[in-house]
Amino acid sequence: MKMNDKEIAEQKENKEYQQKFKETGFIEKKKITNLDLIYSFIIGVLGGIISSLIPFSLLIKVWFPFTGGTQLVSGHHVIWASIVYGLTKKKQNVFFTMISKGLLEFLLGDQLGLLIIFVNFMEAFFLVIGFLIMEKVGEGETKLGWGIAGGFGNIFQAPFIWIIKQRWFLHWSLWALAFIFAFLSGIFIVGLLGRTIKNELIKAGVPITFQIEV
Amino acid sequence: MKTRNFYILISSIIVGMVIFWLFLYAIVELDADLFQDPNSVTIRGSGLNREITLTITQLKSDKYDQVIDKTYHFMDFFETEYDIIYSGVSLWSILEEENLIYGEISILKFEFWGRDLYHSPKALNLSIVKDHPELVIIAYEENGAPLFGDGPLRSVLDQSILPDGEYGSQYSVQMLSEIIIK
Repeated sequence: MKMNDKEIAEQKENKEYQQKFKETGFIEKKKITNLDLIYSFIIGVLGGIISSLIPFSLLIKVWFPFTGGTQLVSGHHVIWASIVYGLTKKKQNVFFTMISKGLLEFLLGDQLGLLIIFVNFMEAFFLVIGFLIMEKVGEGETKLGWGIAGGFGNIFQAPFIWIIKQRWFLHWSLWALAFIFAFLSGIFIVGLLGRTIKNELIKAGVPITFQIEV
Repeated sequence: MKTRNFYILISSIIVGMVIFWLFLYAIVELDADLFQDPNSVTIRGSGLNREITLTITQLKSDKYDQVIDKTYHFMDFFETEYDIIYSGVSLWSILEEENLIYGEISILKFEFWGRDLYHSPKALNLSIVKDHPELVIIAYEENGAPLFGDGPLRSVLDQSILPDGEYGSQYSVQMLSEIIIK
């Protein structure tokens, strides 16, 4: 039987899709699998070590002199959660990742002490809220959706930490710039970079734990 | 261009403009000198008869009293206490040697400003500096090594001389660029 143009185009699209995303690993819609937990804890621990020990802020201090400028790279604290979410599509895993990351940061002597675990929980909470809102408005898988969700996940830690550190005496424009930078960092690092890394990992054959809807 | 992309473009331009103007506003309002030599500190203000800028080399000279490897006690906003060993130059010795002070010390106040526009939370009475010349310093070394990322200069006040309710960590201003006495 001869295929029409539409069927040929569909077949071609399916082939391209399969090449792009290999369906691998455990496919589970609701339940948490061992692979979910392994991803969450390994990537959380990795994030905790990297976030604590690598001074990313030096990348900013060289060319942006004002206090709060380091918020431009603050997204590296949350990107781990967005990668795990991309691989598993389960929002609980965002919490597992961030809490294990917070625990590591605490054990590595973070200045905020036990509060750093709460800060990580808060970041996870707002990232999940961001993804939920984006899914509701039909932007759950787009760059825009991931960007805004990432920005939402990263912005609230900045005022929280500045309030905890009682930085009332700093000029309001520095506060405003810090929060805008935190949001932008969330968009670019947590959202867009996280999405790109997730896509590349899936293309490379890293097992996913969710059902691809074709 | 799709409407959605157009909105993204417009939003990006608005955010970019807000950042640009806030940056300019901060520079003008806070009188930031972006081109100041990071290896120097300026002492100025209405409480002085003139403004003076000193480089690290000048600060390290024998002209001023040097405080070498002294342990300073700090408390942060969580009331965690810790000690750090700093070397630096006594602020009082600079003010005295250069004969900078103009007016009654008991009514003058001082505050520290960093290049990043962070500043000490409150202007403190200058008599603290006079009464404790070795406990208020402009540090250039920490544990015997030059200050790196947070330097090259930092203000250091020992917790013991601060008024109640003030935290020494907040007066330890990194990237110190100005000391204002008014």
